Amino acid sequence: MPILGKKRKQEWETVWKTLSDLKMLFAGDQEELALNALMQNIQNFIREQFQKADAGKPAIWYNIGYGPPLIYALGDVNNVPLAEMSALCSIIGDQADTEALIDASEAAGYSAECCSADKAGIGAVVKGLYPDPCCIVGINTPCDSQVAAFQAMAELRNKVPVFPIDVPPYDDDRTLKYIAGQLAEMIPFLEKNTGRKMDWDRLKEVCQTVNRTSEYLWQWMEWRSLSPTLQPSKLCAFTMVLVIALLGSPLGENIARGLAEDARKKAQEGAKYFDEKVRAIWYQDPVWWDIQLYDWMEAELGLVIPMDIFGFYASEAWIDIASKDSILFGLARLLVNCGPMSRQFRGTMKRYIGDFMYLHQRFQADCGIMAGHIACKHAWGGIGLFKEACKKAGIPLLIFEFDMFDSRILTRKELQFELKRFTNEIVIPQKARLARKS
Amino acid sequence: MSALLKSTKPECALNSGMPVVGYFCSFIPPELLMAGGLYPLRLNGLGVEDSSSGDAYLSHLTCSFARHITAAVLDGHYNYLAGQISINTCDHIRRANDVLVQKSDLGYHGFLSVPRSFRAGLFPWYLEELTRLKESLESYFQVRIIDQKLKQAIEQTNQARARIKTLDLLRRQDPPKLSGAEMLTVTVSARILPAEKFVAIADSLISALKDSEPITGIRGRLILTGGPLDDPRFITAIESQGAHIAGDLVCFGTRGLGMDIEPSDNPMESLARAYLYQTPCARMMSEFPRRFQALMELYRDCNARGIIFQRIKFCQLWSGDAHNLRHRFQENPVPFLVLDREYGTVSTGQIKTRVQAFLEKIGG
Amino acid sequence: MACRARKKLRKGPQMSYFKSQQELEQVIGGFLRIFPKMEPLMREAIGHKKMALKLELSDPDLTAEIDFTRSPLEIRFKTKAEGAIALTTTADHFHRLLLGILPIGPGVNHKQILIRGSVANLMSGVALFYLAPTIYPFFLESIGRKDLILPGKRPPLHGEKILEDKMTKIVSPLAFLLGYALGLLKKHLAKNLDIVAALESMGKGLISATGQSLEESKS
Repeated sequence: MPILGKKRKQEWETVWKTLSDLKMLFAGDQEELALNALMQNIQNFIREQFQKADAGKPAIWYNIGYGPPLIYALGDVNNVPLAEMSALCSIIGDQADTEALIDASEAAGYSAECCSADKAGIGAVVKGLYPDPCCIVGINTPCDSQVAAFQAMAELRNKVPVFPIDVPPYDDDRTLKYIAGQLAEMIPFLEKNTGRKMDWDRLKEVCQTVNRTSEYLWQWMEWRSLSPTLQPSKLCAFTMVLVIALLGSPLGENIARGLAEDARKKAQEGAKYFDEKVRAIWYQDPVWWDIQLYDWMEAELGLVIPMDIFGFYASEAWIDIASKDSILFGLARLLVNCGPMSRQFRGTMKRYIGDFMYLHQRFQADCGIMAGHIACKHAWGGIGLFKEACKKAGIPLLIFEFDMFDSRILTRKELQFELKRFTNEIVIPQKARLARKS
Repeated sequence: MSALLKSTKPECALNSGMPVVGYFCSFIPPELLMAGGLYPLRLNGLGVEDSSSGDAYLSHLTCSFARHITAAVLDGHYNYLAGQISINTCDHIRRANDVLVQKSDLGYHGFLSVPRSFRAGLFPWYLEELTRLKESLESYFQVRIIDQKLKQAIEQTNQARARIKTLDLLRRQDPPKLSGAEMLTVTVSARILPAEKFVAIADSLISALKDSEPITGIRGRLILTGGPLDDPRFITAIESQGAHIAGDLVCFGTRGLGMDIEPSDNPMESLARAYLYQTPCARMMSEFPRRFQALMELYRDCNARGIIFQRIKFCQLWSGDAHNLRHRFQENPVPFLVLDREYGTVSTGQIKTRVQAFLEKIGG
Repeated sequence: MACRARKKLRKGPQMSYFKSQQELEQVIGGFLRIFPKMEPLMREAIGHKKMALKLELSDPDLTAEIDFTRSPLEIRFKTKAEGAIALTTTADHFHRLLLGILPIGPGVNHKQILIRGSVANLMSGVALFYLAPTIYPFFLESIGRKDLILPGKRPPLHGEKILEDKMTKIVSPLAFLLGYALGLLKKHLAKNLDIVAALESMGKGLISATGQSLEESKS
């Protein structure tokens, strides 16, 4: 299906057609505020990207871990997250395309051990699916795979200037000021390479949009914390998509508002479509290659994911727009303390485990599911400490190896088996025992 | 050489009478520890065959180097250590540090956050980090790390670096007097022995090599690059096929020893510059071009005919480098062999087969 | 944030429409068996994708595979094949889906229908269920099962389709008028008019005129 009247590469046309079909499908269900908001605003985002690309506007590439507010403040600049096609092909396109992109990157010599989000992104670069960048921004959070991906992007476009942001693993104001200083240093770099001037008034507006988006996300989390959670589990992880690609834009705000209003409406109407039996914190990457699996979990097992690590949006996201310094400090804190995964993984396991315990309590969970994306070395490296902590707290924890964008690592059937066994043989009996005791 | 081989055992540290502080990475200046009367010991897993306790905490999906060292500490192989210092080299080291902090009996745990770029604006952070590390060492060990001591330590390590350069030239010359495996033994020892002792042993080695016969029967001069490598057996396996590792850019090899430090009134700043701006490793995000330049300069200077790239499985940083090198070599082809390995074992058969084929390919 | 959620469990129909597996195979199975007659229309609907759709019904049980990878398309029952996409639901829900009473969007959202497969393929397969409500009631009539045509409101199957192609914008209303005319004919003059046969002929006409074989994909 052509995009803006022009023929595009097959992967994009598939995404566009599927998204149009999805939009049409769910538009028939006016109750689904969140889904409709997602479809509409993702479509608008893609449309804007193509409009900018067709008009020859400068494009900035960046890896997961970085976010777009500063880019939005530059005006008509195209923000291109490396993992964009990874997400789009799996979630609203053809999973076979995601796997083909992964294979393309590996065929080009990119390591099979790196994150499939980046592999598919590098595959997209190799296949020329993104507009050429005027510059590349990189950040080392949340993981080594980002460091590798940034350097691969830089190498594949080695005439293009790059700017890496160094994020230390500490959790203090000194660190945030250090990062804010780098953002300040980056502004002239962006101005020089995009030919655009940073408009601080526009940046204030972007920050205000971020703040409103944050408020919606916090409201959304509140509604999802209720038991039963009546908004579907499959909507849990989209905060990550929003934060990486859309934070600071009205489109991102629309999605957050849709999520919040949908969660509120469902909670207040109280319509239940299945019997909630088990609540789990999904504490690692979602099953992007089969979002429908969450419907199966709910319908067949009564297993609900009220929150996961991608969905969790920390309370530190507020940006004080009183001055340039406070703006940059706020953006730095947003970047490293609120970006899902960046927050939990850039430091020690204390933050990762601490957030899990917090979510477990706040969302009234019965257990945890560590869907171990195999490239997440920062997660697998802490598995022993995480298991110990859950054991001490008496929290059942399911751990399995899989890949969030590659369905060939752990198949749907194998995943269903793990979830079914855990839910029915471990969690439900434990819940019954605890209920009898009390 | 046998004295150097023996030095890779922990007895030297045990008998030193000084608190021994292990450290993970080449961004930590051993001079800082030496100036505080502490014994700096670059952590490694040599001789540790069982990594089970490391595996249990870090999982089988992480770097075996990190797992072996973690196991070595948890299982008591390093029971003489007073403490350890980690840095944010990579996810694996960070998690190893998490385990050591929570699960080991070590009294002191230090940490350094090293910037990921040579950008000038980031240097003050590294200097500040080094200063904070210094203060924490002073506080815990009740020592004072004064400028005078730092200058003395720098002088000692400069001497050690000079010896390494001399030996490296003997390794590099054609024909060489030192094999690549022997050179790695030298550089690993330099990270384990006190500088003075290393210099003494190195001097006697240099003297002995003056009159020794050069190595003959070399089929191909190669450069070895990639991630951490502390096991000379790996290079022995490569060189057993007639290859000669004429130069290397591996951690524990000639890379990562810091740069020569000029005397100055501000030794902390000099140290920081020498260690931050040394030949960058794959963790340095924007420095692949510099790394590539260093590699190609070495390739030319050593009159090499091929490059062997080795990395430990699950290391994403170095695997990223392999991709980038392949990309560069598409335009300007250089014979290039990638060897993935597990730390703690040497798959001799596999290495020999692949190196033999590689040598044949490059006309060796 | 306190709120009292009224718990309202939305249940499906109290009694099954199908008393037995045999009855289900006769009705739903029979309907699936006429798909090859309308193959050109079906392939157009799914965008000429070569894929297999697995159907898993329960209460009573029926499994079937609608295999568009073969030409002519094949319908297989009691199959163990996975299918590129799958739809799992109860027989009753599927019946309501085919009648257009349970649109697939809400059906999925309300966990009455579970789907599996790559989203792009699913969206192609979903298009079959936009066509089905046009055909299924006439099929039921043709096998003497008008009793299964449930009364009640038919909600929109999907949101408004944005027609980008100019010719489609012209032809679609004309096609509506044609369908309306056929409906009037059936209602007032020719009660035995076989709509399925008419659709089958329409499909053949489509193939003849375009010169496309069943195997060709859309360009």
